[in-house]
Amino acid sequence: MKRLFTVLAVLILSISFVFAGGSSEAAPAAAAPEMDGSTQGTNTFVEGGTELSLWTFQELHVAFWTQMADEWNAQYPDRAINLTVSSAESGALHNRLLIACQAGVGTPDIADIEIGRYGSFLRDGYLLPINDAVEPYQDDVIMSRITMYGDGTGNWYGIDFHLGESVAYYNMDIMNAAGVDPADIVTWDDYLEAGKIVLEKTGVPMCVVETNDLFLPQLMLLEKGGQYVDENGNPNIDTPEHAEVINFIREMIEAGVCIICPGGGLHEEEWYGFMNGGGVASVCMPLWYMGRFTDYMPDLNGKIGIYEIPVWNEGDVRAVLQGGTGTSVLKFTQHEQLAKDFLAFAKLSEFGNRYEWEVLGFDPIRTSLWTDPTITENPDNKYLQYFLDNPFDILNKNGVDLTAPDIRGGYSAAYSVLCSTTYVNAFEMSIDTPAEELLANEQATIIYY
Amino acid sequence: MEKQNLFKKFIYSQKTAPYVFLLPFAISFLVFFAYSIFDTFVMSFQRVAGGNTEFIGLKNYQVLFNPIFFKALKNSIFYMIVTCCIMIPFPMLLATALNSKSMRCKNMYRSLLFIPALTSVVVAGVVFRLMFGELPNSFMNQLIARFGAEPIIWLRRVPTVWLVLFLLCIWRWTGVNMMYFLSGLQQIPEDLYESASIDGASAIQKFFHITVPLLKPTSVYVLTISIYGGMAMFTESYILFNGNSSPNNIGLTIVGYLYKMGFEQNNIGLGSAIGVVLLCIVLIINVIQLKFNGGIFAKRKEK
Repeated sequence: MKRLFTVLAVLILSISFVFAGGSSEAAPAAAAPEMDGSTQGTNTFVEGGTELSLWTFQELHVAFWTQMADEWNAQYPDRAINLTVSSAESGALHNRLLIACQAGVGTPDIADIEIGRYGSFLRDGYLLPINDAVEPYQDDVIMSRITMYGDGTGNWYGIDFHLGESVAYYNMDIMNAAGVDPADIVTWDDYLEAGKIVLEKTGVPMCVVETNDLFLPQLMLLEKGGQYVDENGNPNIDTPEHAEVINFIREMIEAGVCIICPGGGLHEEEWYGFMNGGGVASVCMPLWYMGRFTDYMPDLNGKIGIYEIPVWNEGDVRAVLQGGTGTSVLKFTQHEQLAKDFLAFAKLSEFGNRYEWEVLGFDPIRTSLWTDPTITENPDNKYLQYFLDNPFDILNKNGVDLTAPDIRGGYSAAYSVLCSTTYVNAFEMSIDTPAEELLANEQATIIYY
Repeated sequence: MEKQNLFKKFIYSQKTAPYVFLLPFAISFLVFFAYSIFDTFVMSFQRVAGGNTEFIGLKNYQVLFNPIFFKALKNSIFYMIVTCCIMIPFPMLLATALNSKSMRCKNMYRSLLFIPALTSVVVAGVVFRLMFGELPNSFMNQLIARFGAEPIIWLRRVPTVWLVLFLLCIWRWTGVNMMYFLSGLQQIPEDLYESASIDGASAIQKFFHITVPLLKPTSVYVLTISIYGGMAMFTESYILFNGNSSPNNIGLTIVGYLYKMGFEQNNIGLGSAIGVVLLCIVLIINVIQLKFNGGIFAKRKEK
């Protein structure tokens, strides 16, 4: 009997261990307010307005949403809303949202969902199609930023904050010292050759590659017409195009033109310090990355030129979209139509797009703003002041035919493997393993069913 | 009046009282432990997707046994073993030193060693991450540069990652374990040491022949919680790598893998399967350990 009791005691201890694991999982979430401050925001209260709630993982978006709600109430007083926006740290917020969706209770009406996590929500049918709300704006905006948040059968579920067109940022101090004009760089081969000159003349590498994210290889892959998922949405990273991309980046690393990103990624403290100190000549990132320059790299003010990204073959279109946040209406909402219409208004109206560009530094989805001088030549805009070149020149030049990543189904699962093992192995740890073999191994570790 | 009597009768009855006292525990156990465990078992055979949840047989367990799971398991077990090896002898020695009469400024050292335990693991992790930055101007790289060493990429290479994790563990938990040992030391009668001194025993002999054996109950307790703590390690790695994704999973722990699959990748079924396997592993390790050490089992028999 006593023995039975002791065994039971051990059992209980062990069980509580599992929960100890559970509670320590909660620790980062609970600590989120300490780290980046969860906040709540509301619009100016309107008597009789419909209550709507919205979750975001980016604190800067709180003010965007409440201002949009104020403007919506001014324009549509008969459909007034009282919007409550809550923000929390990204990982914690997405987990909370997922649990709420699985339980079917406690979800907000609208939520910002990061592109890497979007597939999970779409796949299990937690989101509502928003086609009817988007259609009135269809002719004024770049539709690939909306159709990418779709299921491939003609339904769209989310709208992004920005276009996110990728460009090449050059540190012109370094380029001038090396005597290389970025305007002459057309193909990736040109880029590599220019990098060799930069390295020789200044001792600085041309670019970096991330090991904890995928921007450079994804950009190159999209230019080749490749994706990380196949046409049915199943993860598919073992493709000849992907192997070519890896081999090219390896060639740049071999030549010393490309190095592993300090800190492992383009959103790390180490990297900001490295770039800010003139440690590297260029970086290819979407236009929303302008905000990282103005916020984290003050010493480069007035030194960064914006050019088009290189292409594989001369004459190819250079327009690629990367990163993003799809804002969607959850299917559990009580105010379906209102939530959808407000979402489309905030993200697609001219008012919303102006705010997104001026305050958040996001390249607008609405094409009419690209040629509006009050936007493109606004002397007070901090992004136009910081950079040597006008980003709208590139938007206008590349036009509206833009390639977006396919983020359906297995994208989230593939993304997780790519950013935790594939690119570390490809560029740092197993640099001698042939790319085809490496990708086949990596493909085998993706868990998706 | 009648009612109160009945209530009193009920409360003071020898038959019912034990059950009344047990009730709060029994209810919380059933709701928060038994039900959750049961549901975890059920979910480990499902694909959990809100309203579209379906049973998929053993699929989760088949997928579970993949190289990344074994890597996470290996990492957790390695961390558990090394922390157990460090976190028992080292705090025991410190406690003995602080307990000795010839030690000065005891309270100051006690407080100094205990203060780290009061910080949040999250804060400690962030501080360690910044201290062990990879650029030449990070704190640790400046420190080793004084001795003429080259800057080290601490958090993206295998041996140094473990070094940082163990340092964090030592810094954070030494004080706590030391407190356990201090309270254990206070139970050892002074006359044992006195008679040993009369017999001519040296300080080292006294430590190994009196202190260590008499501290055994405390050591077994510390070992048991260290095994739990080691296998459950998650927050440190989560914060150190800024969100659960270490390069090539060098710092991925088993709970980290559970979190990654269950929450980050929306596969609660697989997460549950990991939880079930983890429960079995820890149960087995601890039953073996306690049996081997004669911990709970032996003590009960003595009575």
